[in-house]
Amino acid sequence: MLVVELRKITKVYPGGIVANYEVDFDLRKGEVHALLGENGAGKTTLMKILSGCLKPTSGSIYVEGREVKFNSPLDALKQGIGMVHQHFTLIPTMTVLENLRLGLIGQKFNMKHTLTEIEELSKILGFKVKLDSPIYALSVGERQRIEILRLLLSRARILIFDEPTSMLCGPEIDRFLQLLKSLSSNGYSIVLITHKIREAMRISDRITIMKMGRVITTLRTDEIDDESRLVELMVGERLMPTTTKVAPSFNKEPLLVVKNLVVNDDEGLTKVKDISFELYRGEILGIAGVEGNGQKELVEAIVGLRKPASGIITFRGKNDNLDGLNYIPAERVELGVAPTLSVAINSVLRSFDKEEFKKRGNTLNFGRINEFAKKVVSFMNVKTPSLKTPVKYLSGGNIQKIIVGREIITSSEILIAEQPTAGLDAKSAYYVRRALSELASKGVGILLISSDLDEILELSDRIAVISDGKFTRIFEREEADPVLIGSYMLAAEGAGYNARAATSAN
Amino acid sequence: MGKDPLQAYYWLFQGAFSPSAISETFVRATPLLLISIGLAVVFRAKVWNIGAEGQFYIGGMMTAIMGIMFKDLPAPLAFPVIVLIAGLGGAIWALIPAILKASYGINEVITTLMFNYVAIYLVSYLLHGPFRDPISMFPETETINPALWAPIAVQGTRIHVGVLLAFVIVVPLAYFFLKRSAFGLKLDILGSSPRVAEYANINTTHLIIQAMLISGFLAGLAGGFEVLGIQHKMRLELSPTTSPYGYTGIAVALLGYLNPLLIALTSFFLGGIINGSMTMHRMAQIPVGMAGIIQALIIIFILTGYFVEDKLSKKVMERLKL
Ligand SMILES: Nc1ncnc2c1ncn2[C@@H]1O[C@H](COP(=O)(O)OP(=O)(O)OP(=O)(O)O)[C@@H](O)[C@H]1O
Ligand SMILES: [Mg+2]
Repeated sequence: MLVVELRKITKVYPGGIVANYEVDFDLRKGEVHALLGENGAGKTTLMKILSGCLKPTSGSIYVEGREVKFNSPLDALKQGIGMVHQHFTLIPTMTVLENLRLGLIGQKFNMKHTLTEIEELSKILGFKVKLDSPIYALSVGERQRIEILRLLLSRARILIFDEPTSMLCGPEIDRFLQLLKSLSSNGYSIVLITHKIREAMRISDRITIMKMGRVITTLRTDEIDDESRLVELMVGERLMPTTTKVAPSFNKEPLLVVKNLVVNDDEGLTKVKDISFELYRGEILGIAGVEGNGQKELVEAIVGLRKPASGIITFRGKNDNLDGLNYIPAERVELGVAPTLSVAINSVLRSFDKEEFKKRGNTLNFGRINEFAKKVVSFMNVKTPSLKTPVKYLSGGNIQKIIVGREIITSSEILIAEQPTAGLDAKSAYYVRRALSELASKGVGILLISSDLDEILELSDRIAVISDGKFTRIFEREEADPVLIGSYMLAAEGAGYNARAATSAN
Repeated sequence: MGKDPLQAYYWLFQGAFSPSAISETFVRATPLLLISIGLAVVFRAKVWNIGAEGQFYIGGMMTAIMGIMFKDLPAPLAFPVIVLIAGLGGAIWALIPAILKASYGINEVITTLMFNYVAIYLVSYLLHGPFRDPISMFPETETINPALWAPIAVQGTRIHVGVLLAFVIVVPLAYFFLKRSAFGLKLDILGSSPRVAEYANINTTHLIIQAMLISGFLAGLAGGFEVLGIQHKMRLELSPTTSPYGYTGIAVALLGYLNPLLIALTSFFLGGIINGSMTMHRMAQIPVGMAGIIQALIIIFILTGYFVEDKLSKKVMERLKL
């Protein structure tokens, strides 16, 4: 039975970009339908139309056979359609409970009733909810769970997820996919936008592939025998096998020294507990761990966005010399770009104040800035109408491409790369990984924080495993092994509720 | 009210934009212009300085004090020195709220508003007490030595060099500064998000203080121009009561999209409306309060106009691109 049918949906954004063109899409009751496609293919746009966030330029939507028109997400929610967005829609300064309550606007609100419901749902979903914690103090993974909870509270039966696993790590992904399975077997119908083909293969019943605003094909997952055919359909070419990494040929010159670092989060909880390490010239040091074990605070302390409680961070022997430190943050829209400003300005967001982008006095050299922006755009193949376009009009992946491109091209000694390939399509992710190893071979020291263990294993020279705010072990490349790393990720006492829940669920 | 509305609007227009009224409209627009350009600087960074009124009064008071205490300043020097000090007075008045905001995150809307009250009571005290002109019936200072007045720029009008400076120098300079300089970009980035600004290696504490100082300086300068160029003494009604410059400037800055060129247009237009409504009051016997209401309505109409235009242009765009 079709719970949802989209017919001939066309969406033209003001400015003339055709994001969807005559798209047909349907969803069966209780199925998981994966939606794949390159960055900017139009996946998010299509699902925003289905969830009432956007109005189609033309085309029609049917819910259980009846044609519907949505003027707002609330209209869609009344029909049982809810969406967890690529960029979270929670209000950072408000608490979890306040945010959940906001999700219930338009319904009768009964605190006691809602609290028991939250209790029950979080039991089913298998996580604890810190109701009075402000959202900004939560990790990306925690925020996402709140989004899902909010959707379920408002009785959505058709759930749309936009790249839900792009920020999650191995065990959490497993749990999340498990959760999707149980939701679908409970009669929820699910659309899953993802760039991870393996994930789609594992969880979905059908796969739809989009490209340049159109649907290329819809396939039954059990009829697909070759994953690489999917990639080919998506990007139109086969990708080369990934690079083989050579060991760094530089001598062990530390670029970054961290000594006995202790960092607290906004609530005053100690998140980084006495971490010491060195980052050498020309190496990639991967940090593996379950989200929320101190990675965020560690990175924030290193890049100077958070004051450590104690400990010393030294760059190339000098204290506090942040010059030459590049940083790809995990929070794209919240931190990585100024959304209302242009692609050009965002390409030099962290370097416009340097001599090379200035003319006499303190005026900006827009010629140089545009030149640099062009480099970023062509290097990462960013899809944008022009350099003047505000970045908020780009697709999620294309915003990420600008951040990554900017931080890779801007010359630096040290690069802190948090989730550098999250949200990128297979091809772009491949280019980014290649660019990272090239940078390292030129002598840049890279700290790679990724939830994608495969990525860490592929790129890193050394792998530090972080658990409960401590490095439980630093592996040399040769000794690294996914299972072993996994066990160290859960090593420390109280290694995080999620991690434990994950292992017990398996 | 038993008055002919057409007649009233005739006088509104006559008082605003008729050839004989134009020069006065420029005069009226000048304090609005300087204040709202200053506000545009901070508003771009989403720092909400509501304190321009107080900064304007402090600038005016400083000017009068200077003019009275240093009667014999050599003429060519007097104007620049005195208005500079007026500007500095305004800047200093903005400094404490600026530091409170930048270093301790204390809401600037409240502090700047409080500083308005303090400024106006302070000025009121000075005008009733130490600086009151003994022979005047009103709380105001004595008239400043005419040798110190701002030189008239256009003979036969009240257009003084300050008016000229504001429209010819400050506007293009501010435009260039906001749109082309690294400083202007920093303001935009801070306005986009304070966290992003920090990520972008911007010292937000310094930036907020600098922006507030500029904003306060321009408001103080406006006060200096008004006293040295128009009133020639400090009075309690330096700002018209129906449309205080410091608060009307907020509307002007926003109506002008925080863009100095549009702000120049808006100031001129609103200056005209203020003058016109006063003419209307005199000639058509419409009460001043009513004139104030008409001003407020015009602002509201313009704002709704923008909103409708925004919606419309989106619709039209979508249609055209199909
Ligand atoms: N608000 C907007 N205004 C104008 N154009 C937009 C807007 N949002 C998206 N676009 C454009 O529409 C196209 C499709 O974007 P969409 O976000 O649907 O892509 P996507 O498939 O979700 O990509 P990604 O994998 O990068 O998230 C892109 O070219 C993008 O630039
Ligand atoms: Mg998307």
